[in-house]
Amino acid sequence: MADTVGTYLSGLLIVACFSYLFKENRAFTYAEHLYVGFAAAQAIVLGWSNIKEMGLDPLRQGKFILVIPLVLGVLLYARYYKPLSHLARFPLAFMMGAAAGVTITGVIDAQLVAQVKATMLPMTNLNNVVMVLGTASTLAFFLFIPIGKKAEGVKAANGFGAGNLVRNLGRATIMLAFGSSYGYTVMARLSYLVARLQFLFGRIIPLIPD
Amino acid sequence: MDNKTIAFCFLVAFALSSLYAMRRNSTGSGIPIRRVPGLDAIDEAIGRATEMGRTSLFVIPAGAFDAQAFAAFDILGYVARQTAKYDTKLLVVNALPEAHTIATEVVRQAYLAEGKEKSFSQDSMRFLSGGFTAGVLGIYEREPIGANFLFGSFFFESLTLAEAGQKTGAIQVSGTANTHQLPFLVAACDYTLIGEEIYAAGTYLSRNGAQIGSLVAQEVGKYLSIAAMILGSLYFTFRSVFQASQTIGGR
Amino acid sequence: MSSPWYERLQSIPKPAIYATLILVFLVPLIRPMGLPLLMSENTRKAYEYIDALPEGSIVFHSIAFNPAVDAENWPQMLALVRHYMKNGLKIIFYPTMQEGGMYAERIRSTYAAEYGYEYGEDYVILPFKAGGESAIAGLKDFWSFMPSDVDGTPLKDLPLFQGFTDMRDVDVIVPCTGSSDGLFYVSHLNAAYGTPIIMAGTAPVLPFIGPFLASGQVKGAIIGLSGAAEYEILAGVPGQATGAMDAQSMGHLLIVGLVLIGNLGFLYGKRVNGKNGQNGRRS
Repeated sequence: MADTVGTYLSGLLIVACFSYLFKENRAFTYAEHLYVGFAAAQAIVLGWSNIKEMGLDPLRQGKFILVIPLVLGVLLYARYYKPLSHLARFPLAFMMGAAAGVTITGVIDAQLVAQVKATMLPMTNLNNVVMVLGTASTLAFFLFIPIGKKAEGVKAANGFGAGNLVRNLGRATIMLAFGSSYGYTVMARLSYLVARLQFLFGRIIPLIPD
Repeated sequence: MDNKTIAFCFLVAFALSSLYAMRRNSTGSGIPIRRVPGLDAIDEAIGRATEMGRTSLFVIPAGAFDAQAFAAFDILGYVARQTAKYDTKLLVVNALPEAHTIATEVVRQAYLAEGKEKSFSQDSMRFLSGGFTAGVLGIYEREPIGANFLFGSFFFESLTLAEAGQKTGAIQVSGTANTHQLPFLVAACDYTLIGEEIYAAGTYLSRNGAQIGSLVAQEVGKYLSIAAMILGSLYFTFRSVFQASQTIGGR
Repeated sequence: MSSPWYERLQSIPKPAIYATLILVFLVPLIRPMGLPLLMSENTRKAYEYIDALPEGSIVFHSIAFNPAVDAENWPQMLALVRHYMKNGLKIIFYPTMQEGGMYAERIRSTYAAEYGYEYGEDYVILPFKAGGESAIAGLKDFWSFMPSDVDGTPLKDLPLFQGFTDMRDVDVIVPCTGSSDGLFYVSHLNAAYGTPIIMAGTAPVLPFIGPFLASGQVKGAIIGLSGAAEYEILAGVPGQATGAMDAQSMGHLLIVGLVLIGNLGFLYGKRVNGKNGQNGRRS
């Protein structure tokens, strides 16, 4: 029974949301507000269960070291109380330091060194030539400090003289990548629509065969 | 050399170059930074808004309050100085409570620097929390927008705002380092600062020591990577050509 | 006065586009057309890698998606899990998004019995850990980071973990993700132990992982709903994705057609307006 009610409610809400595609209307507004409310409630529940399962429960079992992250977490809220607002900087500094430490250990090795090594390819076929020149020229597009120039007089267009050709090649490579990225995003959006239609016309109005 | 040793060398090079650049900047020697073409596009957009007597709108999105937001503040400062200079109406909309005070101060200082502090109006600084996207769409409908600037950490709202902004007929200049949103901004705006360009533009305008240090470290990484890629590829190309010629010669 | 035809091509009313799109999707869903499906190299590599794993190998399946993107990720996950189970592989599920746990529970409640899979012996569900990248980097210190499963049972009491020392005993990591989070496994576990990675991601994820596929750091990838459909066919486990592919293909055709029409109008308009001393921009 609960399943049936849930299914029909889902169907109704999907139709209400889709109605926005034609015109903003009351059904859409209700669905939107309902969603915002549920999303906020879910965020609170998930946040609390994180604190409970990863902080409070182990603390009760004797893991007293967890007092440190819990206190740091509470200090994040100090910024709402002006006399103590400076204390909010400690957890922020800790988070930024820890995040930088965790990221740097893996990223430079896996996402820089390994990638540069993988781009050292023999330019004996078109794929490799495109890969090497495309990657190098894209990096060159993002060079902002020209070597051998004085601090003044570096202009937008002629910053690198002949290097403009390389930068234009980089720009073209980036645009091709954007085109591909845009196409993939459209593909994903269409998939979501197909899934909703499969639900509506498969489970609620059984038109789609199993 | 294994990957970890090379990674360590890269890390040392980044740290040293960053420290060197910050020191050089503080001694007043200066670091040359190329002017990003997007800044010229900003001038053009404000010029057009001024000619048409329309408003310049600057939007800071609801994404993270991160380095992109700070780059956006630097660009906002530049935009505000230009609008103050030409007496063009400026409207700033942002969705981050932390950003509101800073943005207000940035604009106030810009008007002060141009000697137009009386032209600054607190009403032109709008904070929209929930319903940010819908709020900006409403501004597009109500205000005659001549120049639309979209800078910061964009997520899903990028296309909604840029597409609706395009319909107002305004010149649109945008910038984000969120690569997943860049295709949408590139498609719908007249000029887009792509990825790191937003930081470079911010650094170019602010000349802040820490920002220059970070930009220089990134540059060192890019120069080293390009050199390694090109030299490595040439080495493997010659090696494979040499091996092929030996195989043919051996037959 | 109505606007010229080339401007009308650029401003087709949105409701008309949406209505056409829904119609174009619905017809092949109701009456499948059996359009051919081209196998992508990335999916084939992913399938071949997993298919070649000997029975009893350990797959570490990370669930980093939520209902917002499960239209693509769930069919991928289901096809993969059925393939693991068909080949007798041991599975460790690890949700790195809080909602991810419910997909692992769905496997436990509905699909494990299809293949006679026993919880604790053939598969285990790890609890969600907050922290994003840190929750993946923490796996390097496995036993102190992950002492028990989702039900609170100590992992050392479960048969699957007898003889398991650390993540080096995992034969392949499969992040199923709607974002670029899967790359954290490349940065931390592939870089540290060389553990092979197969990525299953939504379509926009491909540009992020492309360079890692080219470098060989990621062995194969299942991308989007089409990737799920291809995997279903290769693994012989037909499901929801295969049925959707006709509709997806027709939708793509419509979008390509609309892009062409819009550009035709834009280019013609630019030519006409250029003659009148304006650029192609509409204002």
